[in-house]
Amino acid sequence: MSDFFDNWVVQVRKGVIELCILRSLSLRERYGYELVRELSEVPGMGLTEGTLYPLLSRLRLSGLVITRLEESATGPARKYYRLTPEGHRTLKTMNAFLETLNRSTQQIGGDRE
Amino acid sequence: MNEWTPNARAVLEQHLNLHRARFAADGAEADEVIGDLRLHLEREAAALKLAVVTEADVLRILARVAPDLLTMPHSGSTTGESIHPTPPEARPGPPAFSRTRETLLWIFGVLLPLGTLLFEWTTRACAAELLDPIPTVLHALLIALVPATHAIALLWLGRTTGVVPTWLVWMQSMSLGVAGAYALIFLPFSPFALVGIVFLGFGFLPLSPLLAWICGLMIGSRLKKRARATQSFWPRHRWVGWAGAMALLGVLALPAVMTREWLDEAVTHVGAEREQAIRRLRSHGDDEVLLKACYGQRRQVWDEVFSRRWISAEQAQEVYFRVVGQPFNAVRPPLGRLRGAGREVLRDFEWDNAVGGEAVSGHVSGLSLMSSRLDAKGNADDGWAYTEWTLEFRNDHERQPREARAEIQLPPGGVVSRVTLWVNGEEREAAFAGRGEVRAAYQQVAVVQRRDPILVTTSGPDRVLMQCFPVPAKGGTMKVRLGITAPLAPFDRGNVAFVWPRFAERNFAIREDLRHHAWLETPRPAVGAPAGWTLDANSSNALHAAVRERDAGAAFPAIRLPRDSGVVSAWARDDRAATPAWVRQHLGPAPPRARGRLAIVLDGGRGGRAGFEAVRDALKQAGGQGGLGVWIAHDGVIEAARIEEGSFAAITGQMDERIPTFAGGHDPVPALEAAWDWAAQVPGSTVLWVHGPQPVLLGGVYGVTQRLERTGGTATQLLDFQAGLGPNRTAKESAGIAGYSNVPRLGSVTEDLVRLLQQWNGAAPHLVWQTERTETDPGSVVTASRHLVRLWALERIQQLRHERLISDAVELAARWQLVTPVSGAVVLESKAQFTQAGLTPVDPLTTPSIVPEPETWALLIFGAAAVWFLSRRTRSRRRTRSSLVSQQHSPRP
Repeated sequence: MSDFFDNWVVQVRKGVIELCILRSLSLRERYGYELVRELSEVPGMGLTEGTLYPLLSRLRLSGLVITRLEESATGPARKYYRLTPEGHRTLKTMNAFLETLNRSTQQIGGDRE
Repeated sequence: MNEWTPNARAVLEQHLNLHRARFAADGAEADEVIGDLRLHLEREAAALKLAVVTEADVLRILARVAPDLLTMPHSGSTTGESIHPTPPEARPGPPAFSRTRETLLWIFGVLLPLGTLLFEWTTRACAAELLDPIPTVLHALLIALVPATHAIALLWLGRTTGVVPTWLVWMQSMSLGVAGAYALIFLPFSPFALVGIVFLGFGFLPLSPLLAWICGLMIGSRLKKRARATQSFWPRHRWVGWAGAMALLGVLALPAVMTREWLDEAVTHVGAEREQAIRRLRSHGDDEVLLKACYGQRRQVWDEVFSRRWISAEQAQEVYFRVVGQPFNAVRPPLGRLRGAGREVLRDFEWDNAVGGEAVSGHVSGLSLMSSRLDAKGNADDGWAYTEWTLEFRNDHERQPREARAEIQLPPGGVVSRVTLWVNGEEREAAFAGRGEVRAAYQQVAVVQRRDPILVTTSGPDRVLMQCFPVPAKGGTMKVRLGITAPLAPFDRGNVAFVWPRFAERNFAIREDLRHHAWLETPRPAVGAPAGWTLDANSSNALHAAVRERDAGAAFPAIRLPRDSGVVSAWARDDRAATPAWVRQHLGPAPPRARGRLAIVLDGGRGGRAGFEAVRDALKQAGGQGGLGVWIAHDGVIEAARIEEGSFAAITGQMDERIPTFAGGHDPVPALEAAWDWAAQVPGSTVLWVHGPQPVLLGGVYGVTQRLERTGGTATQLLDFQAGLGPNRTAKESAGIAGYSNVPRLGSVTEDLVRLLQQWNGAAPHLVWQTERTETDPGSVVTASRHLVRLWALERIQQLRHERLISDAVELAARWQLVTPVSGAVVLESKAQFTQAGLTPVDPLTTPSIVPEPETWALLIFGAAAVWFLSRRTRSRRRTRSSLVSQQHSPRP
């Protein structure tokens, strides 16, 4: 692959990774380790812990997620993340926007061909 | 969890911190991201199940899960080359306290609460005066948690920079709750403490909980900051810790609070509500709280908050007996369950409110019996015994002089005939006079002048109250002696019983190792030596032992003495009357009386089971026919069994179906009334009351005394059978009323009951000593001791009392120096005090003694001198006569 494509992939990932986090948390609360395991299995996502935790911190500071610590019998304490109502609303808006964008993008490409 | 090497931890922190700026630039909170990553990597390491996590392990994990952290951040490095894992310093959390603040926290958060705990533990000062902050060991441990937590937290904050341990967070939260609870309890005293600090320079102890609580808040705040900085686990519901500690203290205080509440109800309510409160106290009450109320100890803060009214010591004592079933003064005053070395502090504030009164009341601190000696002699043929009990008291209180008081159970039919007091090492005799006169003299000298008197008055049938004051503080002693004349209770014509006097109730302690040294001498040796006694049958027929008070119940048995069954009477001279007279005591059958119904009243209280079982056994053993009813005093009346006519043994089956719980103490009067009303339907009936100690009058005795006095025509009698040693207030109120009498206790409860029932049935002889006085000289048969005259005088005084000839009764009692219901004995310190009180101490030559009485000595000496003179004269005459004879027969020169 060309450098151009690699850079484009990085840019696309940056754009959707927060959406993926919010979607993952929309179903139920998850702790960081669990979230990384889930998102790293998404093909093409290429997510690492070094990327995920700054994003989670930023989402918390933005008021989209809240956290809580819970003692674990099997290892260190777990930090659980959960969507706030604001997070749910934002996710809904983002989903709608992405759907529109996707549709528009398809239309653009399809119409030309 | 695995263990991390210091290098591994340092490498991790280095890599995380190198990206701090990047995280912040991405709009994240750098500390939070670093904390999250740290947790994540620790979990990865844990998942690998490494025993020890090394530097290499960290790099390996980083390379796998977060390779971007192994490169220099773009903002700081243009090359992106790998970072060499040199161990840097771990990033410290927020600094601990400043030196000054830390010192203050150590002083007020650690040393002051610890010192307060130790001070109270050892002195019990607060428990004595304000409230008891450490009534249980658990309270002490909870209080100790406060300085311990503060010390650990301060040390940890000062020496460590890592993650805050979760256990420390919870510990701190709990200690905050303990300090907060005690700060609230002591809040009412804080203003006084502040005044003390400002004006006197001391008073920190009551403020200790509040200061500790403030220190706890400061330490908790610093721990929270450290936890946030290090992304430590900080429990969301931390309030559970302090709320739980406060709740635990509340639960621990609950029994005392509820006991107070039920005590209130038991005093203020009547009927079913009161009975319910008593039942709750029996099942769930705190006996120590009740006991404190009995001793009039101050109420505590919680009591003030939850209770409604003041309860007097007398009211509490009544409730205590109802609940526990024993006198409150049967146990030592409460000092709290934790007793420290500082009992002196409690003693300093104790006050004996019963000084000079007619009640023994509770134990007073510092006062104890130092020595006890009983010397007795008896003559089984003549049927009398005389015992001298020498007692020495000691007061170890620092300041308070004490009054020693004891109710003494005399032998059956006994009377105090001598009282002495040692003043400046010299034994002084008592003055015998009217009861009111001697008591007034005692109160004047003892309570007002605070000099050395002793007073002895009667306290119910066969009981006297001995009181002496003051036993000086700081180890002062007081020595007294009581002489007791008593008839020897007859088993049959060939055997009598000697009974020792005993303490029924006392206000002083008796050391565990103190022994009553008892010695009895009789003309004939006793029938066997009881266990623990030595019988010296070879010389003086002495029976002696050293008995501990704890064992006295079993180790002071009645002594069986043999007598010549052919001797039926003994004569003694009454040489103190205006005209010479003689007293005859003879052993004969009790006056016959009609045999009506037998009504037995039993005690359903704590000490009643032995009596219940003994009565059941005795009814089976003694046999008998007739009307028999059994009532049990138990929160009212239980009619256990009743037959109008039939075998006594058959009734025991009915009794077994109505066995009560034998808990607490109960008012016997309703049961006695019910039994009396049934029995009195048939003339000549008997009410037999079998019971334990009766320390308080629960409902008054008029129901009994009125029946005794007003239904005399039916010749119903009340026999009082006390199964265990102790006070008997009911007997005290009923004493002297015709128809009321005590059953002498000579053996076990069952033995005595069997003998009583057999005598009642006519199956066993009922012998009694009878005395009569005559002014006709019986001649040479007058050989017995004056003690017989004393016993006649006691009987005559009872008659004079019933005839309301009180002054004659007092005069007779004073003449024969007897303590009776109309008279008492008092020893004062000086002749001036006697003169001031209008009393005259008796001549020592007229008092009884263990050695032959002085007049007898004089007679013996006179007799010996006369014999010597006569024999000398006879020998002289013989010599003269033989000389004359020899002169007549000799040849003349």
